[in-house]
Amino acid sequence: MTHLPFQDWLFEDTLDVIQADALHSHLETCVECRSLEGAFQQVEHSLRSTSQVAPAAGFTLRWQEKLEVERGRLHKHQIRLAFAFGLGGALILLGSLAILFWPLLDSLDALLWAVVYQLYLAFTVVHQVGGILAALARALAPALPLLFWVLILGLLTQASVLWVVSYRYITNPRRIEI
Amino acid sequence: MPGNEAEWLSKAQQGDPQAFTSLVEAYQRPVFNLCYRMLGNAQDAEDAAQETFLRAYKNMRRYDNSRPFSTWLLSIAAHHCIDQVRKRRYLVLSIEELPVPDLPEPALGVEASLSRKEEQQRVRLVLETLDPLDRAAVVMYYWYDFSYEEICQALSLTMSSVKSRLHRARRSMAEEWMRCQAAQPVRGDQMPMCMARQEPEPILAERITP
Repeated sequence: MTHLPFQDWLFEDTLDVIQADALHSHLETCVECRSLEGAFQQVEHSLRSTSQVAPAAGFTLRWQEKLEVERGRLHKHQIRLAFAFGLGGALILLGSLAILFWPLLDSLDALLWAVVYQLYLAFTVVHQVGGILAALARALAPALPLLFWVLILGLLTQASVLWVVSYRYITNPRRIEI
Repeated sequence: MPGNEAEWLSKAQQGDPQAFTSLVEAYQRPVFNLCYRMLGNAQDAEDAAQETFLRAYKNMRRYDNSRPFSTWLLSIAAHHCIDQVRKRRYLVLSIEELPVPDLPEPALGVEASLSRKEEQQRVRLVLETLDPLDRAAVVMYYWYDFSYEEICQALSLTMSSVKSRLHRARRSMAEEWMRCQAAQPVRGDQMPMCMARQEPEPILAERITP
């Protein structure tokens, strides 16, 4: 006896009237298909009647802890990434300097003197900028009132405090509560 | 859908962790249940459910408000569980040998507790015979009353694929049931003996639809 297409129809959601009648007639005579239908009805009944299962108590708290751990891990990852970028930048800078001083590399003394000379140049520039700023301050000091300097100093202090607080706020992971 | 869900979703999308915690509170059962049905044991289900919420939290900005949140969330859970089931296949250790910690016993009588335990075992073992994607489709269809369209969306499948997977899964489950009955005849709706295996009993919750 052929069981097609009846065994396919057993698992269809919708059948038209002709198909349903044909299936019904077939099931009356075919023990195998009837057994399969019975088994499917039992399986379907089990699936539909089985209750949902819930997690053990405290699931939300455990999730919050997991989130904290994840945030900590992310924070560490960001620090490592920033360090790697810094290190990479330093290596690129060193590489550039090495290329710049390549002609001098045949003589270590000459390289050392070149580095010292560059440092001296940098120091000189900083010193000159400092001198200009000092001259400006000396010229402006009598012209501007004391209140102005107090105000500038206060603003600078506030900006520093704001920067420190912002940094702490951004870098510290926040706890969440229900 | 919980009454405040729209507000929680809106806030969670703006990065409010407390609002997302409310969503975790509201959806922990459906997500855990799906993971349990997919993975078959409580510890793996707990890990998968936690991971699901973590992934949802990280991708909250990508959630499309026009879709139901439950569909999106259960889709994340299903995909994660499918990956876990596929990974398991590469393990040398048999699933029968995996250590499974016990869950707290529900406050039920001995008979009711045993009956529910058998029911859970029966369902779990029938589901275990299915391909993970077919299993996900079955769980969504029978436990969450998802329509074919919703299953298509959740599992990224076409309509014809969902229909053929459900058809194949039904047939496979029925044949497995028959095979077990033939091996060990049982009376009425009693569980076939080949399916009688010890498993930890999860906490039973009322049947809810997200």
